[in-house]
Amino acid sequence: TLTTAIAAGGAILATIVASRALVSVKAGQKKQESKDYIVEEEEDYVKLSYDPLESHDLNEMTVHESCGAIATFVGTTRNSFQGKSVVDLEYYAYTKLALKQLQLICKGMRKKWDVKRVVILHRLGTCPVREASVMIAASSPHRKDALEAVHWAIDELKKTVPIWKKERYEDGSSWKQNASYVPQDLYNGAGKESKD
Amino acid sequence: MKVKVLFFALCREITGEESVEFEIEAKASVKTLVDAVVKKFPKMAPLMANMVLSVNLEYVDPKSTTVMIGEKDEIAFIPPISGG
Repeated sequence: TLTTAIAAGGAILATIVASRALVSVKAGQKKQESKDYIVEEEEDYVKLSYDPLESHDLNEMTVHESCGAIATFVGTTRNSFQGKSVVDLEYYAYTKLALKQLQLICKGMRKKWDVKRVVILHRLGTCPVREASVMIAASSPHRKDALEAVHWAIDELKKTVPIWKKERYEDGSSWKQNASYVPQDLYNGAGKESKD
Repeated sequence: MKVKVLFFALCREITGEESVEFEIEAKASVKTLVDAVVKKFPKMAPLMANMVLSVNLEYVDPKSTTVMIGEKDEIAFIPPISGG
């Protein structure tokens, strides 16, 4: 892509490439922990990573000969919130509990839908605009199951997984709160394995 | 007995701590521990309305007088979440 950009002769493209390089240097200087946290149990794959999620091939991770469909959700960093310009997001997690809750989501998907392979990835640390903060994918023999399971999974994640997002602006930052989050639901059993 | 209390996100900023060891009475409820934490970190008080606790990776009501804390339990203060 770099050679293509230069060949196109666009000054604008060259600027974009240069500014991305600046962003990379800044991130490197931040010295983020680069450790990944992965839990793989049978056909469930859950990962928390300080590295970009884009390197993952979700299709390859979920495809199965018994399946006719793969559904995917990707959450990306948006550049604004209620008119304020967002520079980037920073994600933090209570790692042990986040992994546990993500595994419970995988199990919940299986209980309610006929899914074969499930993958949930969440970014930690700085997540620049346009980059993915979360990826959820599932394969199923028929498409309805995968589509519905993935939809349910992202909704559940926002309600039950102990991950926090700090929105950073030019002039400050703020801790976000998911609209669907209800504290009482968590300790009254929402985040636990369903009994039915 | 000693218990380990973890602070995340906003709680970490407010207390200035990631993890604190608390000395509490042998048979203490979650509420007793929470009261001790808020006493040590008064700026946590206004956050408690929206707070959830985690005790050994299970979500618990911070006001609970029935869930008991044991030695070496891992307790975390969970402020409003925003994953995804």
